[in-house]
Amino acid sequence: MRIFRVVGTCLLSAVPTLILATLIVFLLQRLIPGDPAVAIAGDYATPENLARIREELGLDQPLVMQYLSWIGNAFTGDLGTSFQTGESITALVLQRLPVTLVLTTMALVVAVVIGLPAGVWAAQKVDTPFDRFLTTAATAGIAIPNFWLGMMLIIVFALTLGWFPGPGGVSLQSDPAQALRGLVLPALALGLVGGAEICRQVRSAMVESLSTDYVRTHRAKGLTNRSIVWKHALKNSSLPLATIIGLQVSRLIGGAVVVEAVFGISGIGSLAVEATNQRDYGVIQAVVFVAALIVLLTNLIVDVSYRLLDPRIS
Amino acid sequence: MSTPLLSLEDVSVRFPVGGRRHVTAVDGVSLELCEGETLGLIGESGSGKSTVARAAMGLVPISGGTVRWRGEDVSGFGAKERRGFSQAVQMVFQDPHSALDPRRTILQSVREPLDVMKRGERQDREQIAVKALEDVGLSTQMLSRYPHQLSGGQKQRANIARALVTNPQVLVCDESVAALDVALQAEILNLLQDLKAEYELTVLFISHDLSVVGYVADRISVMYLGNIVENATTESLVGRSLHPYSEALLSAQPLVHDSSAERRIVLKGDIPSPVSPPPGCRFNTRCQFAQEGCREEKPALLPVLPGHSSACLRVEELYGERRGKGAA
Amino acid sequence: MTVVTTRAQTATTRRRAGRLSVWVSYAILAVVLIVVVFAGVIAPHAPNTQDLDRILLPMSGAHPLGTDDLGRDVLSRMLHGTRVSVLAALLAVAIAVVIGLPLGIAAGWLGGWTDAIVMRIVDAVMSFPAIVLAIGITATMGPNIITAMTAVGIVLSPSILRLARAQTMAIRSETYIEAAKSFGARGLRRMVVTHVVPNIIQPILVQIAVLMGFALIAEASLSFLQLGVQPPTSSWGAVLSRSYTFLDQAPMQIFIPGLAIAATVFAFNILGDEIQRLLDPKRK
Repeated sequence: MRIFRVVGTCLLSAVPTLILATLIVFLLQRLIPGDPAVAIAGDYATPENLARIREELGLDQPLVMQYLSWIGNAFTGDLGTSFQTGESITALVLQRLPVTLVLTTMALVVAVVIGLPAGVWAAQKVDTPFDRFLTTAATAGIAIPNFWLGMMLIIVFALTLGWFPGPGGVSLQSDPAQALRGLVLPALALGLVGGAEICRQVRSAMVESLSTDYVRTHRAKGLTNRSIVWKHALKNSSLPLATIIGLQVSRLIGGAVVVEAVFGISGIGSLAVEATNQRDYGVIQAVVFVAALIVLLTNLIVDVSYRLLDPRIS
Repeated sequence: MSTPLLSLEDVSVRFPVGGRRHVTAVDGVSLELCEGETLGLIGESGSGKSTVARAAMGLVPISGGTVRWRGEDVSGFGAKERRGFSQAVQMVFQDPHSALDPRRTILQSVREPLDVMKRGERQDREQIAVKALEDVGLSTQMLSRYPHQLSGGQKQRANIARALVTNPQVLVCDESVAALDVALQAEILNLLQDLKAEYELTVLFISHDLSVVGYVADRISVMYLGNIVENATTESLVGRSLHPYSEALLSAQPLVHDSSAERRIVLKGDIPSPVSPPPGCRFNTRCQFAQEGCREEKPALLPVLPGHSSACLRVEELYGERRGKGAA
Repeated sequence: MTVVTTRAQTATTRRRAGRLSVWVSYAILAVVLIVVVFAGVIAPHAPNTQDLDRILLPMSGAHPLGTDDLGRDVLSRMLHGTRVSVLAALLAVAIAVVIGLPLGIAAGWLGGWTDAIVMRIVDAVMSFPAIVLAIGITATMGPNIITAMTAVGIVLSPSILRLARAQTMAIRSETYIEAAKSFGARGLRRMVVTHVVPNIIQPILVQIAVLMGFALIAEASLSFLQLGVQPPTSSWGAVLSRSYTFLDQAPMQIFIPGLAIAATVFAFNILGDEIQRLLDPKRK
């Protein structure tokens, strides 16, 4: 039952980070300039209104108590109420989250499908003109702002060729097929840039792995290049690969926020932007919190697979 | 005999090794370094000899015992005495390359001890550093170079120069020639001998190489697994060793080995881990003369001959005859 | 014999290809620098002058990049925006260094509890997608470019911190540090300023070059979301944001600002690679 022990260990070591992360999210509220209640209710709020907000936010209580009650609510699924619409923030987030997750997953697939073979390929031909070309192309790919790439894709594939729908997609719930079609371009915009990053990172991990004595021994044994590269060397660099992909999830979630704005996708990114314009601080806080939860969860999975993959770490 | 310059009394050094476990790198070692002599400290890697040097210099905290400078306990030193002690005891490290900061010129590195001690004007300090560099045989062209532009021998000369600028009384050489090839070793050893005379140095010379120690040292202490097992003048140790471990070291030395020696001793296996040292005599796992008693009782370092002590329970049985030779 | 020739040829080609992207990058950075300094002189028009009779003009001699929906000259807005974007990125990187470098050195040098606590906080900060946390901070404090880039600096600081820590830890166990201790060197100035900082500064420079790229993209992203520079100030992101609203009418106005960002970020990344390459001890 090694797996339970491993998962347990990883969960335990993630707890302090999680607590600190919630603390950061909580302290965001403290950054609101001036009186938070005034900031939320607006300059012309009635005193009764202000008092109600203060009470609801627990602003009249000591900071520690505020934090404890906030974190208690958060982990029971209550992220508060939107001060603009009066809706439950949890419901808002849950309604917006699926499309962001689908977009991120699609982008991750694009990134891995492009980046992994390209990186492995470049590593095999290290220091050849081919490798140079691929590396330079990847460096250029990283330099492209993903939201700008999204706009370019819209101009070419939506406005000019009409292959994909333009900005303003359909909701995932009402027409999944059409919505998925609408997610292709944003997923490409995110995934191409992510793929360039993965390519560079995979290349350096594989170059290292291919230069080990272990691989040289396999070569001397007469194994085919294909089996050396794809079976042995790749397996040997599975730990850096797990890290690279874990890191990419965090990058893609961040990128999704901006790309959603370009494509008019109503995910949590757009939710954050709308909330910013309406000064709906609770919603902003919730989005930041949920994004961190996703990254922490990914890190946890990476951490668990690390320990399961590598017999040296127990 | 006058007070020794630097002495260690029953010094122990323990390092934590994860959890609550400790490794005793140095276990109750006593040494005396008398003015003008060269004391050789010899042992395999992992015997704790370098830790002894670091403990003597205050670079690692000691967990037991006393280090004395001219008879006074070093731990009671105030800031001023501390600085005097640092000035008086300098060290030459094993790896000439990593002992020099790659981003500083040779002159900057050699001058650094004086800078730290804030002695005199900058110009005077520079002059002292230049003189030291001349004394070790480095030309003035080398002053503004960086370590990677120097050869291994030149780097070690620069290290020695740095140890000399404070005009120390004691020089601790920790495997100072081990990283050099044989021809360079001889060169550096001769340089050290010359400098010893010129600067009137007392030297603690640490090495795993008996031929090197035998060449420079007046007296030799043999270390094994954190303990000193034998202590004697070089002549006495090489001529009539009174401990199986020393004998094994001697018999492994083709140049020093006396062909008339009765026994040839070959060590079996590796030095045990100091994390879990064997009970009784630390050497019993590799000693061909080990008996039941050796696994139970830890032998003390006792004088057997004048100026020659050994830590072996069977010293009388094994070496009684030699002892007689020595006394006669 | 054949093998040797091929190898030699490969090496030459590589050097040429390597050189080319490096020289292109230097040229890009030089142009950017000139624009940052002389934007006011080079720009043909004032960046904020509106002319509602001349909106959304195509490219022409008078307006090389056309005009936007308020009749402002896009090229002039781009040139002035370059200054804003680059200075904003510099601000973010400076903040990242000011936070990350001392804390990283302290954690690496002191180890123990200091290290444990600092690294826990770093883990926590890194559990947020960088841009999301930056948006969170900016949205809460009120959108403006200084706040936005301070937030970006904060979220970028862990990368400097971790690098400085790792480098410092490596140096801490070097013999020259022990040697310095052996002649009584103590204290922050003597040890850290004299020995640690000069020995870690080069990899930090590489990271700074890479972070400049990140910060430029972050500025563009935040300004695109209207969390960065506020109207009428121009920046690369602000120009993109404005142009996006009339995407179907003047697509070229999207193209140029994005290309400027990509080229500059590329140049910074190549600069980073180049510093790295020059530092590689195996090269000698």
